[in-house]
Amino acid sequence: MIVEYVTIVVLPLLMAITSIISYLVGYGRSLKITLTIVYGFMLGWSILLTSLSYLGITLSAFGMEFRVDALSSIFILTSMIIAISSLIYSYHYMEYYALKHGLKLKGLGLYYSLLTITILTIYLMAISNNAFILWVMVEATTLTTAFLVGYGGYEGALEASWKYLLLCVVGLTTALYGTSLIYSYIFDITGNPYFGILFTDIARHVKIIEPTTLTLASIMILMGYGVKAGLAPLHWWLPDAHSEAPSPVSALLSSIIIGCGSYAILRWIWALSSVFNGVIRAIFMVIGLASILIGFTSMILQEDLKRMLAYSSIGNMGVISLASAYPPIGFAFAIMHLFNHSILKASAFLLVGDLEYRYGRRSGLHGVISDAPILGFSLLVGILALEGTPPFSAFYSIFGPLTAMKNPSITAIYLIGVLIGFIAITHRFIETAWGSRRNLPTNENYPRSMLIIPIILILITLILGLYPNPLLKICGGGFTR
Amino acid sequence: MQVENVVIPLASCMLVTAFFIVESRRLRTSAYSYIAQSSLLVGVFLSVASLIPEPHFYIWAITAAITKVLIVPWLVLRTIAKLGVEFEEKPVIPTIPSYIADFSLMILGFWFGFNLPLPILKPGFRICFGTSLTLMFLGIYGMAGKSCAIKQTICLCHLENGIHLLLATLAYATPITVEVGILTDAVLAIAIMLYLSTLIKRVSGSLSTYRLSSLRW
Repeated sequence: MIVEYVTIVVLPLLMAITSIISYLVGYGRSLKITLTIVYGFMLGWSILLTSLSYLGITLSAFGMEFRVDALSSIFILTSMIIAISSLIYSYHYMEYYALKHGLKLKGLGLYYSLLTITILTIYLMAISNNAFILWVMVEATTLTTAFLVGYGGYEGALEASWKYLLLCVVGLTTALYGTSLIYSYIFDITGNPYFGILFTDIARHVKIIEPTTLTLASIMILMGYGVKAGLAPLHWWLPDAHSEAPSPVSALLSSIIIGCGSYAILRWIWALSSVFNGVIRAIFMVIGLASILIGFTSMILQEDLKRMLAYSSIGNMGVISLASAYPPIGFAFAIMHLFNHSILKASAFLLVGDLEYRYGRRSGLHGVISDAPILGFSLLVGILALEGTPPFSAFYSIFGPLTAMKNPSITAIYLIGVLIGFIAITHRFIETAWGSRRNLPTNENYPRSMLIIPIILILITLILGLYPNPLLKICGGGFTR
Repeated sequence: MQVENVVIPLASCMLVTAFFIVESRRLRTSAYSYIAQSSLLVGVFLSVASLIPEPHFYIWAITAAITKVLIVPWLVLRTIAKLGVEFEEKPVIPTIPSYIADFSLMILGFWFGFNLPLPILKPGFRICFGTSLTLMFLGIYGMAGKSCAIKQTICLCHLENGIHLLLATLAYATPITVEVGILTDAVLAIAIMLYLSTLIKRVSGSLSTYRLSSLRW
């Protein structure tokens, strides 16, 4: 009882209060200490929730309105790891960013306030068992992060923010139409308004929905949340928003914010699992493959490292979408890849943020290893890990779905896409790290402690790659009711 | 009296206001047309509530009146006054092709509304569904075809009227918390877009989002 109470009432309240305090108190030492303690507590609690899921315990409260199962707990854990990483990294980086864009340091309180609200909305999304509240929270993450994307206030940031907001708000509308269709059908037949709202009830009654309506609704839901997840062909907002946002926000966007879209899609597949076949499944596969090919091939043309990582996210969201079309094995790997990709992509964005801090640019860099060996080496290892090189845990989630795929054509297209992505990104980052060093002005004030967080993130995936069983077990439980 | 007998004239008037919202070059005319459209939306809810025994529609009418007739227009008109702009920036699509696009989208919206195989929709609600799809299509078209940030925001408001109508048609029995959540998101999205419009005008000296071209697609 106490665990449910803390999870559903205390933690959201704590984050809401922290957000208000951040705005009112303004940026300073006391705020940093408060935020670190609160985010640390949140991370600790998410580990507890994941441990409960590992033991097969599902929490629920308020008439099943809130529910924490394996899928939610792993997403909450991912979110909290990324949240505290972005927070601690921001302490140094945002001071540099504020200086660069002529912003007041005291005003950074607003940044931390928005960051905390974003984490709060993601958390509420993950614990909600209500299909409409899930939509509301996914939309809310768009609204709060739109501010964070445009935080620099310069033309490029505002344009990226505008494009992001416009496309995601319009795109998510489609998901609301789909949700309403499913709700309406179940309500019309059962007469109970809750049977079409709660995912657990939708899962029980989904078979009564007429097939055409169900297909139409599923397409709308996939398209709507697909915009948020950055799935092709609705991905236009993603490269701009991810490249123009401050690096800790890019880390957040490219991992758990687009992850919200993927989480919503996975939750819907979970609810529709008994009817997940035929046309619906084929559409997931086509969109997944299209995203893999478009995302990974677009990387070839990119000079800007952050933009390249953003296109890599589109490809990786495609991997999740394609894998999720093969439940239950593929679905488990999809959850696992959501975790691995989030951690490693956040690490990669933070390392590029380090490059930007040290060299004042994020393209046309060569020979970083000879100037900053730890940074250059971490960058290379991080990218190799992200692309599924063993012994890092992304190896399992990128190649694991192959065990569920039976069609050789799909397998071939998938592998070609992954290979293109691997060559494109490693080529650019090897050039950045190892190429002949050019005389670039360096910022000598660059704090090497900024490397700690991305290195820890890479180490997490290394440990989980060497000992994958706990993660595999939790992700494997994501499909069970 | 049948639901469709009341809804048809109101829905038709909503479509006329939709045309003015999207096509009027004066931003204030667009905003006032939006107020008219929102009032008609409230009218649709009240009419349906009086004809079928569904008290939920009264709640939908009250929330629509507060958010869409009062709060959102106030935010839009205040921003227009603050920025001192009268006319929208030059649209991307010229006038005549734009009118043709509007009418084509209206036909498409109603075609979908009446032909989608959705057995749950009763005849009167088919009209609401068709209108909601049309408002959504026109809203998306307005956001893509107009370059002015304020105009794009008004088109988003217009699109959200379509969503509101759809929710009332399909999901009218949802708990009030759900409705409040969806409407809060809608109002916040518009407030943020208006704030960003102000920043865009300040930074680039224009409200044209198409002039912001420092990034590639």
